[in-house]
Amino acid sequence: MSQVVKLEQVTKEYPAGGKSFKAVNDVSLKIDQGEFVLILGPSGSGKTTLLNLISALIRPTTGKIFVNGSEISAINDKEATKFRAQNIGLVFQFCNLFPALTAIENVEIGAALKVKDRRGLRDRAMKYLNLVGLEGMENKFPAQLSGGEQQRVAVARALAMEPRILLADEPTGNLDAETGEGIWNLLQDLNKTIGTTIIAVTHWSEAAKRAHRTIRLRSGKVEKITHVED
Amino acid sequence: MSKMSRYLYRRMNREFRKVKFRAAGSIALVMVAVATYVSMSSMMPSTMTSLEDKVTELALSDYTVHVWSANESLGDAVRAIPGVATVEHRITYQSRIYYQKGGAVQTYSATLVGIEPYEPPSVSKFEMREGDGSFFTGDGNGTALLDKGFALAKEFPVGGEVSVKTMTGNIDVKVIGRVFSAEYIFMPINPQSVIPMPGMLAVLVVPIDWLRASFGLSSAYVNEFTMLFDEGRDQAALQAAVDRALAPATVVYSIPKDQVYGYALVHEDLKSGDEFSGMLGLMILLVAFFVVYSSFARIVQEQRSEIGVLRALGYSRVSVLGSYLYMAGILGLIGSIIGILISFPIGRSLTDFYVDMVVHTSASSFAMSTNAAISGLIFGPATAMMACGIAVWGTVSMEPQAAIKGMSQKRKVRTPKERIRGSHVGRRSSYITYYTTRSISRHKSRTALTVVAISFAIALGCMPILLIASFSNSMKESVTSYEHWDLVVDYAIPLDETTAQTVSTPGIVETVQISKFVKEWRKGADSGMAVVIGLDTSQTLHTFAIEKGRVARGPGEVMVGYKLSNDYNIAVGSTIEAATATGNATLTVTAVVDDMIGQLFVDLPMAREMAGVLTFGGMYVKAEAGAATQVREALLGNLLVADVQFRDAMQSGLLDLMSSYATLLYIFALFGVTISTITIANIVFVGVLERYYEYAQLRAVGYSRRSITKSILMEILIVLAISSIVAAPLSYAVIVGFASEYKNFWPVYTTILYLGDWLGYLIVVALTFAFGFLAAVPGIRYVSRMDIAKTVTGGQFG
Repeated sequence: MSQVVKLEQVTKEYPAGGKSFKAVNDVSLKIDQGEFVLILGPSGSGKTTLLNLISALIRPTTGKIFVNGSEISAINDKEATKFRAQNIGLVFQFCNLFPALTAIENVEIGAALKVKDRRGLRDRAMKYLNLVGLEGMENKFPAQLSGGEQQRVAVARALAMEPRILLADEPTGNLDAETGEGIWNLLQDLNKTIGTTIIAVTHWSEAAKRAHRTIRLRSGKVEKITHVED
Repeated sequence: MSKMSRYLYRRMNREFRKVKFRAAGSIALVMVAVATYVSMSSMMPSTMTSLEDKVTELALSDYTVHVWSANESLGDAVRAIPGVATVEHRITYQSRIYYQKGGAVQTYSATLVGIEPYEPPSVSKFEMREGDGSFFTGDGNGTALLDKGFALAKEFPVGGEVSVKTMTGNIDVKVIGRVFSAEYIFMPINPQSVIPMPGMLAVLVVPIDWLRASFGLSSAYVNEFTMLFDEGRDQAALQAAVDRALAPATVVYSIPKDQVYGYALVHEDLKSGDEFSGMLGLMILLVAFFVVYSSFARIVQEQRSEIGVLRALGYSRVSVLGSYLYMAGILGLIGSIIGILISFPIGRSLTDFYVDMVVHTSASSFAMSTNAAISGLIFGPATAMMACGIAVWGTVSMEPQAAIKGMSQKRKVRTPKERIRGSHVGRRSSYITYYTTRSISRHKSRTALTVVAISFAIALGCMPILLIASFSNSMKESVTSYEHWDLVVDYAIPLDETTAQTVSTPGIVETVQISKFVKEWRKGADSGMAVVIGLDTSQTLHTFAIEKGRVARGPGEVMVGYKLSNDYNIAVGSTIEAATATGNATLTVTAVVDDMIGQLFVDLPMAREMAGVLTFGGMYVKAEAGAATQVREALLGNLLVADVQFRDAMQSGLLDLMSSYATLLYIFALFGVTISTITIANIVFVGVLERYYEYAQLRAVGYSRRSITKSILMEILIVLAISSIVAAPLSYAVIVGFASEYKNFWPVYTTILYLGDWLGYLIVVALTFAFGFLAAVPGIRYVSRMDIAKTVTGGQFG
């Protein structure tokens, strides 16, 4: 399998009260195409920072990051925006959707960056909305959807961009256990059926059994990497 | 305050820091509203005080009487009346002056005022504004003083020479000083002029003996008496006694102090200005109301779950509402206080500007209107609290769990069938455009309020421009419709009927003699003095714009001017009493007319009965085709003629008058643009804050800064476009609504606006757009600099 993400001795420092704080500290890792990787760790361990580095939302202080063979460590904001549009699908923990848009429109708004043909855009959006189990809900507004349904729409939006990598930051952090489990099952199914590389952050260790690999962080460092079949 | 409430207010005090940008717009608008109202309300009485101070200082004549011919000793008869403190005599004569300017000969109608040179008058004094005062130390021969307003307007220098048209030919005199008199407040007019043209008359003060000699008058001839009455006396009784004393000299017209043209006009102006300032302040407060409403609606939307928690804890609706009203009250109070503070320099500047315009000097004093300041202090917080209360009550009164869950209280979400027409599928615009339009259409009430606020501001800005255009059009229309003469002639002195007929020249087709005099009228408990116009009512050179009724013909009938009819409820068919030479007459009102040359209009026989001895101040002239200019030149050469104006000059003279207000009115135009800009800035920033997280998501997903900027600018464009469209009929409606007020100033006014006049409106709209986009810059910069990662992750390092 080809490598899709590679980090080489990546460190991310933030200033904190006169000193600097290493949110990610000398991390090196590789992720292959089609892998479902979970990043686990307690609060403040650097999980979200690591995700933000991979998605080029932030740049590393030192080290190099490669995604799809391209180095993204030192790209400027314009290049980063273009990179995310072409390669990354993002799912956030909070308030994912645009309240003024319907479910289908929320999916379309991401895919519109790639698909210019309007008919094609609608078809693609419907496809992924159906894929996440929301057929018939396309004209509902976020306020009319449950938390789990909203998160599914967010996942569909990320998938509709047909990214190389889907990054999900605590996608179930705001949901109850049962609903959250449904989301993890969905991500697992999507990884199996369409083969999208998924990197997800969570502090819910129960999600680990659905992944190919888990990477446990502590204090910004990789503490342990576990292959799930192990 | 209970322990629980204390926490509510502590929370609000901290919220102030968070909402400071949103608060700024609200505070700014309240401040502007209060500053406008207080400064203008203070300006009016302060200007009046300065005016009255000047009028008192210069001892404006309490009663000026123009007689046909008198010996100066007739003044003794007036002095003998108890209650008359001072009497002086002079001669006023209408003439023309000529002078060189820029290689061409300039000529203007002039009122010559002949006074005793050795002693400056103590009634209707002359204030030397420039010159050495030597006019009053010698016999003054060959010298003159020129009215300052005219001298300034025409840039006539002290030391310059003018040639005066006299009975003995044109005589050169040297202007050795510029003077100001309370009689010439604002703009002097010739009271006997058929159509007084403000701004077109020079006033030349000359030695009385020189005037007598130049016009072939006897050595003791006078034709005007000025006087001061003792304080606290019955003015009407004294005036009547003076008229009786001067009756042997034939009173042609008399002017009480409060009817001196400029003085009366400024009084009317200030009175209207007072009403206008209230209206203007209210309009701006209305805009402030919408902005405050909009800001608080968004604030409580964001804080909905917090409010739900407070309610769940046990805080009552009223206590939670109270905390928001507290915030709004503070914002309003800050705006009011700043507004009151800045109203002082603004009011002072406006007062100086206006006083300089009318009396060509700075204001003697300026005092803040306490009532206006108190009103401003109350209205600012009251408006903010009212707007906040309405915006907040819905959310505050929700059930706690609904608020916590962030459920919409009332909004019905559209089902697919109800969706607005024009589905995005198939459109060529980009998705960011669609996102923007959907965001606007989803929040209809908020968008509507924004549109209303900006529409008001645009209307405020363009109304003055449209008003000037409407006045100009109305003038042209009325001249075309009702004035069928070519020339209007003013005689040098009132002429009897026989002499008036001798004023003629080849090329004249028809003339209409105009008699003008002042008489007392009475209707029930109301009475007053009115300018009476006597003319042949069957003629067609000057037709009457009759609102209701028919033309008066013959004795016992009168037509009443619009303002007089309006002010005293004199209707067609009713009767009024009018003074005549032999007593009183009862006149039936046959029509209400829109006519600016007088207040009561009668046929010649009735005029004879009222005046006793009928004199004519001028005439209308119809010339043969193409002969108007020759006829004019020929008439100007007649020694009995002071001035001859073309019909078209009538409207340009009045437009000159309007142009003196133009500066003030264009300030209001800029004002409106400023208010729009503040409103837009507030709304943009509030919108940016509200959608900050959405913008962060868009950026994270892959939309560029440029796309987000495009979205923000597009929203402004859409809102401004809709507001501009709404503002057009709004402006028109307000102008039409005030038409009756304008008729007091210009009786034949009707609202007339052509397509080309709306260019001024488009300019205001363009300025609003330009400043609106500029106002968006801080909001756009704020979004451009966002930390995407921090925003989408809620600031967690993780």
